[in-house]
Amino acid sequence: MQGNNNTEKKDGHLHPLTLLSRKIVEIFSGLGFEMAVGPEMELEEYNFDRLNVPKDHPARDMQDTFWIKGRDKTVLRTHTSSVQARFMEENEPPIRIISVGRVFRNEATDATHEAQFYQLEGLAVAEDVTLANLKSTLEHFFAELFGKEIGVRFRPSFFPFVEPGVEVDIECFKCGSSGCSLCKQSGWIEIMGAGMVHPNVLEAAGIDSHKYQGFAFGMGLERLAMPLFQIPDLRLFYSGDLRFINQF
Amino acid sequence: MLISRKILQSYFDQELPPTNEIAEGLTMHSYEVEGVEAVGTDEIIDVDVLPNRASDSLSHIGVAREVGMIFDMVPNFSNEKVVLQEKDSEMIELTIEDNSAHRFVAVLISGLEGGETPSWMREVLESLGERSISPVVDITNYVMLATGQPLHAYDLDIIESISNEATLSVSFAQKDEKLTLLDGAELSLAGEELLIRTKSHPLGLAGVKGGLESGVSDKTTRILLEAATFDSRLVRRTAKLTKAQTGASKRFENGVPAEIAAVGVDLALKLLAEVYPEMRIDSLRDLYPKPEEPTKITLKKEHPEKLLGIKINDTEIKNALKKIGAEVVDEESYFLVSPPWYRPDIKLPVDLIDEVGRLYGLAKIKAVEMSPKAVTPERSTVAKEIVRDILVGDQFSEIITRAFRRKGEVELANPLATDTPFLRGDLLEGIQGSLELAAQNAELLEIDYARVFEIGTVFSEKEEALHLAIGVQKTKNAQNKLNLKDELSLIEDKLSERLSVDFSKYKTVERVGDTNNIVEYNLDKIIGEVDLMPQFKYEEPVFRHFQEFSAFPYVLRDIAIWTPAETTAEDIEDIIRKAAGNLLRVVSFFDRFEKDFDGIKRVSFAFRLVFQSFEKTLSDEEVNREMELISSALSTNQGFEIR
Repeated sequence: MQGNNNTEKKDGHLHPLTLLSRKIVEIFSGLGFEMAVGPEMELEEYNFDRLNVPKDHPARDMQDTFWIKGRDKTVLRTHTSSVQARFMEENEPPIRIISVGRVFRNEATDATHEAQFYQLEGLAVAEDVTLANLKSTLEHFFAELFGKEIGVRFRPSFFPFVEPGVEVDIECFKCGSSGCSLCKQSGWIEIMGAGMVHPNVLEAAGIDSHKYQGFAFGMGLERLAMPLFQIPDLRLFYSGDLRFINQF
Repeated sequence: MLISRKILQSYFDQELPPTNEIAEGLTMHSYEVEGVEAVGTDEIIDVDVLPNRASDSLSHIGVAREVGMIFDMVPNFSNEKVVLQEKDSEMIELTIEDNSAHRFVAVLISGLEGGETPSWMREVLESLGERSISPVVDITNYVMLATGQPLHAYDLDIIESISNEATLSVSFAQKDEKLTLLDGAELSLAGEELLIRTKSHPLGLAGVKGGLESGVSDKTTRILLEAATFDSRLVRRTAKLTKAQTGASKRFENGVPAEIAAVGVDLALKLLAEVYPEMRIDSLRDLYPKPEEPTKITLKKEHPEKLLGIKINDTEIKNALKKIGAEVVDEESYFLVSPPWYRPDIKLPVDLIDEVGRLYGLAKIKAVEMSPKAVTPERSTVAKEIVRDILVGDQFSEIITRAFRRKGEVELANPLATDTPFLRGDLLEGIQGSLELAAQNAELLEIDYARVFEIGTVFSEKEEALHLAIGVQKTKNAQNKLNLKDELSLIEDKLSERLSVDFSKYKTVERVGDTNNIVEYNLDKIIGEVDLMPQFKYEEPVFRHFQEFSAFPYVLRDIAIWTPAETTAEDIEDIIRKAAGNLLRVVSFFDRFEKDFDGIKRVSFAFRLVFQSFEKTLSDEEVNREMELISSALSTNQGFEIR
């Protein structure tokens, strides 16, 4: 009998970011959120103007944003929030969407920084969507993702496209909030930015801000994937190295 | 922004709570705190002031207001506007070019002799990381840290020696004008920088840094004290053009309310008078063409509750708004709110709700569920998942690679690396690199063929499009010989069948290489052709933990052994693993056959072993030692014989 281990049919492997985004899509569709997509090469208008980012905001600088040569006012999107701007323009409330996609920032690469990475974006707009609804949505999301109840807390923050803006912390899922290296002994991990959609953003998309309100949130996918899969270096995600991929 | 507990304490008559409690309070109600550090007898709080709060909170007074609000303590300073009394204002003429500044205050001061920086001031400056230089400079620095108003002091004798007319202006540089800054940097100006200047002579970069020539020295006894409110965009441009970012420019860039100029001048004059008993104010000119108008905001009483989703009554709202220093007029169904002059960031009802929310405590907001909503799966997402499942089911692994390339049709104006200024026009390079890397590691990965795919965006002059690329490469590990082209066309058939679209029609590239084959498709076009998108059922994904792999090369050894008939491959693998040290990475079984030896059946097994160190490249001797351990462990078993 001739046995050869190597010719047995073995499954290939999905990229860990795919595994994570599948889970994300599944959880959010259970909460009534649909996936939305948008271009990676984006007009300055959707990436900045319609999101209430001031004309002279430092984020528009060359050292933060990649600009396309020979094209007027075109950038590589710096966040998936541009998908919000596009989706709201084309759809009437009630809106509940998430978007997962690649974004670009003009910054040097190291173990925790990448010029191209993935973001998860969420948006809900209706007559009665509140910050308390955001809390519920995120609590549900993190509980499903980690398979256990995870405390979620809001702190004041600022992003031009939301007001109030909040920073979202989750209870450290590694140490259970008793303090460890992951949470820098604080028991909490800063995980995403969020808030109530700024009225200027709604109006820029043609939505009546007196009638409708909504919440939005956004986070780096790798920031969630790194502790979940215990991946120490961001660059591994884009290495194309099967010694990495085939572990998942 | 570094905040000294000592300065903070000086604004309160009561003892402040412990510094870590202040830090916690600020984190939960105001802005992030990076850390608390003991410096000498002081404690320093590193506050990360949010951009919207820069106008009031890049100052100790601003942070003191927050601390007062959070801990219900009343600061001992007044929040009233300060009105500057002009004095002999004809002594100096001030001009502002093209609205480049909102306010320009100049004070001519003499009699600055024989003073010394008070020791308390020297101490707090040092604990905040500032060097004590001279009483005048120390006072201007201290006033900025305390009030948020950047000040600059010029040697008045030098200004007078440079220029006969007593005219100072905020205006733009002329091209190629020269200016040497206080730190010695010699600038040749582009012409777009905002300056403080006499008619003929630049004195300093407005809101950024003063010039060396007119700077104060230990000989200085007369100064011109400048407190201005420059246009934030122009300061940003000036700081960027001259690569000179300072505490002053950072504040101006974020917008300093013009009213703070008066607060800063007022405090500076008081401190100067304390240090120099002979000090005289010869002239004070306050050019403030358009004083900031107070805003009035109508806040519907039910609006905070409606947006935040919390129960909060009218009194609580009103109290919160008064706490932030706003004037509140209670009308039937709304509040008419005038935010305090030091909070120009508050413009809209939602800005007020933000204040109400953070004082109430965002952490106290309780979850309220939304009503259910039906979803329609998004087509391209579903299509991508279906494609992935088919490929993974046929041994292909998914990669994601970077989008920057040496060549392409779409170029970045400001690439990260000059050798890769283009966006990818296809996915080939990523697939190719991944295949080659996998082939090099074939034994470690236990693969005979490397199979990878990527779904990613590519960019051309016309459009950006989602592409799918699939590649396969034979490795040295392969014992059988597959036709790579056939492998890929089999996959193409499966994909075409599943989505009911002929993939071959949307093939954009097909590369037949020496060692590998790659095909690429325009997935956007394929998705567009799908008539009825099949359903996709999400399987529960498993989140496995990553194990670090070694960057050093690995070494192979084959071993074959005769064993008694009943022995299994697992038995042998077990013995090998137990005998080997931690250098053994992979035990891969590749051959088994049976033979009769005079009526006794024996079985032969062959294994391939992969050795690799995390610390170094292994030598033959080191691997041989491992093999000896394994061989002897196997040999001790009855009927085992290494071949």
